[in-house]
Amino acid sequence: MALRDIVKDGQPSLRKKSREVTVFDDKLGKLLDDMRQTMIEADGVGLAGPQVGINRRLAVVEVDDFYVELVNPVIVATEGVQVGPEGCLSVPGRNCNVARPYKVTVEYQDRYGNHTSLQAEELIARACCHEIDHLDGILFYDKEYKE
Amino acid sequence: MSDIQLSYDILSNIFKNKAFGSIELSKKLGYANNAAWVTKLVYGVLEKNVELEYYLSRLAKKRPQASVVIVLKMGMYCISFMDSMPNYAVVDNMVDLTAFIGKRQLKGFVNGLLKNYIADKPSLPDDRVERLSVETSVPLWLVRKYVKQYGYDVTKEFLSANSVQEEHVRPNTRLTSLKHLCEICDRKDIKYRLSDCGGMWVKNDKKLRDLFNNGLITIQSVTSMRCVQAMNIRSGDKVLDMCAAPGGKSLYIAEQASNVEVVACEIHPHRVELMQAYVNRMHASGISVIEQDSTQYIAGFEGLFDKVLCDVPCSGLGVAKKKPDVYLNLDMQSVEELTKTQYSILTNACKYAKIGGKVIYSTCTLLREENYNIVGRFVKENTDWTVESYKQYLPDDQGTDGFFVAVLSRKQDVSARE
Repeated sequence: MALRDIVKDGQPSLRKKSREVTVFDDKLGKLLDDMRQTMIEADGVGLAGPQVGINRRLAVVEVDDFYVELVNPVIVATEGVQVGPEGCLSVPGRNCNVARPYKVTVEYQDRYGNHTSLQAEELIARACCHEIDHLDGILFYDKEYKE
Repeated sequence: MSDIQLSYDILSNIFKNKAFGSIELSKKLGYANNAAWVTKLVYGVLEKNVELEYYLSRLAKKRPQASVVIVLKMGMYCISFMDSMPNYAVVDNMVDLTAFIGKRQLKGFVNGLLKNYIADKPSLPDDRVERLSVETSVPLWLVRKYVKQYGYDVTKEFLSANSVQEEHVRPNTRLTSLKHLCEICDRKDIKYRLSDCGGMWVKNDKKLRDLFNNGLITIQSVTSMRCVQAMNIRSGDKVLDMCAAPGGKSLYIAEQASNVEVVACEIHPHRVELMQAYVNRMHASGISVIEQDSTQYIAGFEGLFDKVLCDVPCSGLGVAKKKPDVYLNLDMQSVEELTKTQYSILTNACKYAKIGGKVIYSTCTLLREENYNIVGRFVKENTDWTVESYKQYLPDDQGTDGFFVAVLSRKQDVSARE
């Protein structure tokens, strides 16, 4: 495993729409392992492909004991609203409130290409939304919540 | 008793006997020659406690006795943060204090340690999370929890935010309006700054007293106002405030619309009296204050209310800047105890709401355990309830405190959904 450099705001890869993952091979597994390691090292709760310069639809999310690798994730259902502070490893020193669904259902593939889904709420739901936004070139402050 | 001895006495009661900082201070401040100086020293040591502990751990091989620890913290605080005494005088005074409290044999130790502190102040930890804990004087276990929950950047920002010195007040809308209040302030030459929630920031001075006594204004935090605004009170609503003292939210709820009825519960009898006096000062109507422990179920309230507010007792971490002794006796075990009370109040609150009614759960803290986890667990165990929305705010430089407010609603008809 190796640490990857985290791409900082201003770099084009953060603003591009990422493409689907189509090849499920060892390289993908290694990339996901590296991303997890990089995220932990940086005290983050999530990291998306574009943040390590890979414009593919994949992300890792880790909140407390929960860890998930999201490949080609799609949010298919949401419920409620949560407003709370967000920051981003690619945008150091900046944070603001963002409104997110309180609960989400995400359909995705695992690193082997198996289709699966997950229901998440609170922090995990927030992290999933934040990471999936990255795959569409959206950064959290684009969605700043104002009273 | 000199001011230094008095400060020691106050701090010793806070550290050793777990006295409340503000109460202990107000009891003894009358004996001070210079009350402002004593206040600054006492609050300063409490505020910088984690930082001072760190320096102590670096300078002393073994942790000294509790009483000497207090002397050393006072000394280090005076050296680093107060310029009323030159350093050599601080050392002399602390050595004398050591003798005064009966630790004559440790005079040399105190003298040496403080001189080392002056000559060679230990550097901050290399690890950024440990450093943040020392710099902001927040216990390391708590900073680690925050970083896990909010990330390092966000944590650093809210822990470093300065609290606003001004007071936040709002107009009593039964008697006046914000516009009218601004005119009065202009006329009386009271400087103010409007806030974004319908109130204003003012310096707390004598000119305000009349407005306050006449019930034209009341002191209420932005946080507290936002919480009530989130309740979306409608005309004719019957509202229950489960933990009402000091009463600010109940009064504001009653002003939100016409014919609002508020039942305000408070567990302590003396606070019930204070609240009644507050209601009278504000010329409020529609509020009945009752003495009631909200962890106890009241059958007569079942299904009676449109909105139920549970502003539950909590660890208060969102207002820690204003209460520097918040961290002193806090650990996860005491948080655990609080969560039991919080959950039982929320459980009762939900029984009191009508079908289609709402329950508003709020705290002034930042820990998931007391906030999201309480409402999250509740809706899992009670499928006829759902979380409509929640907000977690963090302390900032603009005077927002840290707070959490969740709106839960009772589904109209469970069977129809299933």
